[in-house]
Amino acid sequence: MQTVRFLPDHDKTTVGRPTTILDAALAAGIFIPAQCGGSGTCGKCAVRVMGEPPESGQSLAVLGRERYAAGWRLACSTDILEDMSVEIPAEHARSAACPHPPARPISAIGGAAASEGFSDPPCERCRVTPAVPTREDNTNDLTRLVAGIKRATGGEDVSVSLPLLQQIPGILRKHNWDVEACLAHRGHDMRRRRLVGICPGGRRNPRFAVACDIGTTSLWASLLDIETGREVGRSSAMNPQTPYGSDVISRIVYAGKKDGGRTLQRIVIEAVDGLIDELVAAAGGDRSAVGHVVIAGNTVMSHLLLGLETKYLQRAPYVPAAGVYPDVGARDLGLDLDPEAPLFVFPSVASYVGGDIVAGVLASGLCREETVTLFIDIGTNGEIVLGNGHWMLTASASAGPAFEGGGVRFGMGASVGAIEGFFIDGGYEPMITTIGRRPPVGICGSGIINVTAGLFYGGVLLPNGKIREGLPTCRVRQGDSGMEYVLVWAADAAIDEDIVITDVDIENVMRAKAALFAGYRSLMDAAGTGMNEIGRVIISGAFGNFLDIENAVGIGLLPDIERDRFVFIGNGSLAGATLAALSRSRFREGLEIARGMTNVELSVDPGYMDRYMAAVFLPHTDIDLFPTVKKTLAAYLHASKEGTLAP
Amino acid sequence: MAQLDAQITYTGAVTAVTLGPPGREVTVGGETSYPFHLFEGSMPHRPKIALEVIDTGPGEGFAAIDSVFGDALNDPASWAKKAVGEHKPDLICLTLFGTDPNGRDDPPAKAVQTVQSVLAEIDVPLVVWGSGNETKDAAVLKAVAESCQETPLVLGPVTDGNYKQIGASALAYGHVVIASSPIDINLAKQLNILLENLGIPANRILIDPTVGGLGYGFEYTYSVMERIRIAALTAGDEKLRSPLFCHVAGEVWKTKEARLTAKDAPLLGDPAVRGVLMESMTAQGMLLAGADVLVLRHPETARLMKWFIDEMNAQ
Repeated sequence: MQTVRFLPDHDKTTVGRPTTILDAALAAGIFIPAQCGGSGTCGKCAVRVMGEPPESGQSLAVLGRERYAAGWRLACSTDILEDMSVEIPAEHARSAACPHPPARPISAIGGAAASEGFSDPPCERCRVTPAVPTREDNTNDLTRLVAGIKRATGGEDVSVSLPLLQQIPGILRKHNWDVEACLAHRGHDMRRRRLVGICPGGRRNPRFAVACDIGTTSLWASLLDIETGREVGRSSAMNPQTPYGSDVISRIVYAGKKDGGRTLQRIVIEAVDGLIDELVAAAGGDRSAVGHVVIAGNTVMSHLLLGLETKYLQRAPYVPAAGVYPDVGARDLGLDLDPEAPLFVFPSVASYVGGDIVAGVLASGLCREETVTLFIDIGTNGEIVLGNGHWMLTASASAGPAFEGGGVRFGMGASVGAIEGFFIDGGYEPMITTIGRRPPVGICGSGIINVTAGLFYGGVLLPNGKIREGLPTCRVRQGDSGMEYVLVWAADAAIDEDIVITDVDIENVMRAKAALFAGYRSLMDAAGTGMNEIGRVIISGAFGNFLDIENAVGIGLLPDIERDRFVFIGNGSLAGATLAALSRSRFREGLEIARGMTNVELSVDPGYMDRYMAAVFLPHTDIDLFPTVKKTLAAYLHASKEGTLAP
Repeated sequence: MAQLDAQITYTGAVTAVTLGPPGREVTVGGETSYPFHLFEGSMPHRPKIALEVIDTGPGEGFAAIDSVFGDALNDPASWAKKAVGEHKPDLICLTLFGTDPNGRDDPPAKAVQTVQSVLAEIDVPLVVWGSGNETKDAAVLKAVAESCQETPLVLGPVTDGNYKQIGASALAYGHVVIASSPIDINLAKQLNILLENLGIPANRILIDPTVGGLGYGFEYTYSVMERIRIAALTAGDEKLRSPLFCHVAGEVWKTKEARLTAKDAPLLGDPAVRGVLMESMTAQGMLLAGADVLVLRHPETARLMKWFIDEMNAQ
């Protein structure tokens, strides 16, 4: 624990883990100009470190020997290794009046997999030594093998596919009646067993399982070591269906065209194959080491993956082909794994509440607790769950891809170079940090929340989400699509143009946050739950490293309740798939969750549109729903009237 | 059987807004109960009636008032003079259709002249109503606001898209603004918040909820107005306490039914009466929903509504 004191007029800030001066300032809500995302190139974030400043080669290179010797350092390139005092140049000190509350980043806690015990993977393996047939005992090979399995494991009967049966006599004899059988647990209660592999005894194979989240916008896969439960690697890719339509409705429309559904199925399977390739290669294995795959996706993605008819998902009364999907294997989908390798697809609740949300709820533990919890998946198809271990209501609010970087001109996924941390000073100059501290490329989902909040509290955005005209800064200008604010000049960016955020981008953000807010308000009204009865808010979403709760509340995306009630689980769908990939009882729990959920169809809720219109405002038309934001805004308005901030 | 006491607890009141220059001002709003619920509260200022005058003269939908105003229709000042002199409205509403860029595209200076000429002929407050083109209205109403620094006007429609320009000049020169939003309680509230953030005091704002004429969405307007009043009077919503302004004339007289001749629609009855009744039905509904200012085209409608308001206020 180190403390850093920002001079002239800030109290000590305690820094939890080794971090740079810039990060500490950002977290404390203290403005230091930074325009290259913290990559150490723009030289704008120079501060003077009192006493004995730590060494920083980048600072020396950018600032020159003389200033370096005088204690000047780049805030982005200087680590806080011990307690220090840092002087911020006087010209930036005016931002001290900015009443924006300090950032409240919460990190993804990730899946609970690593910390949980597991001893019941969905595919169990056992050594089987069936009796060798003799003249006296000439029972057939399969009966012999199954009897051996029952002897070794107990339990119910075992089924087998024809292609595997075709190989069994040969394998048994080749390995002298000493083999290892791999059994997949299938069916609605995961109690039906199916023989999916048979190999020489003593060979502990396969080693890996894959958990996969098929999102509308992006795919995530995680390679898991079955023995240790450890995540060996994680990888993501854009959903290759995206060019065929950025939202589920346009995918359904495309699937309805000739061969459309088949095309969408093929390319997503190829993409999953690609991710598995990448992961096993990185882990130094090969594809045969992957024993089973657990997949969580929204209903439309699951239907497309399985080649099911999606037409009726889109038409009233919005009926899916199935909630619990049949048992499938790699062979059925043409996935390039052992043909018998089983796939477990998370069940769906309704047309727009799918397996991804079931997996997320599983990962969050919501269904095991008494506390009334609000679960929000901040994705393209924003699903919401309200409830606890006794009851669960779900709804889906079509939020659009803004928080995944879609529908925003310079939006991008949470990868290196994405603008994440942001706020501005009284002169409308930005302080920007990027993922990986590289020169900026675009803006990721959490960055979009921070940029929207930063611009609103910095006086650039009006409450209706429009960029204010006539501000005394060249960063606000007329662009191709209305007004825009220049986040990064081309000179400081990793791309050849200015990175801007436009009126149209903000409009998409406003719609997305309004759809989500109206969605969970509708569920709360349906359940008669007040804001203060919500004990916990679990946020799931493929954001970057962190989500700034203060900013997410500040723009009216999340409810204004005590901040310690928020939990961010990162990609909940992937976390749930991970749990299920390691434990069949957790997958069964997923099946129970899906059965226990009551779906509320927002499209037929007459109050939804009204709540939505009320929420298309910063932070909300009814400011009393946001008491702490109201206070902050009052302080801001006061400050601007006193003249300490530009109007 | 015990009698149920259906007493409503009011927690707010409609803001009183004064229109027009001192000496001939008119005050609207101030209600402490639902419209005409005089047994529960008071209605210190009765709803007011504005007669419509249009700068482009008569066009379609004016057959009914041809016989009333005659040649005066061709000159807005004479029209206004005749309307005030003979029909005694509380206000005049001058609509500047001539400034519409898709029509005659009059420059702001021309609009200013028209406004001045009308002002010279009337002794009641004046509402200046733009063409409905957000961008052009911003320029026109700004120029009008500047040129009438001595005479407080009522300016509209002020929308989400032009409230800054019009709002700033109205604030500087002391005019009242009409915040216009498309039949949605939340949008109405949002615009009022934006206007107040701009510094416009609550007693200088009227809400135009946008009127749907009879058979053309009338009930949507009715229920939005009703909800605005419920929010203002019983739910403590300070941002929705502005008096309600309903431009009935423009919506009713543009409908097909108000314009059809007896020859084209023999089943719809005497066109001279039909239009007036359609305007009256709409206006009366708006009054019951809480309208504080009605803009009407036909003096006969105005007479009927005055009678209705008087009757409703008779103890």
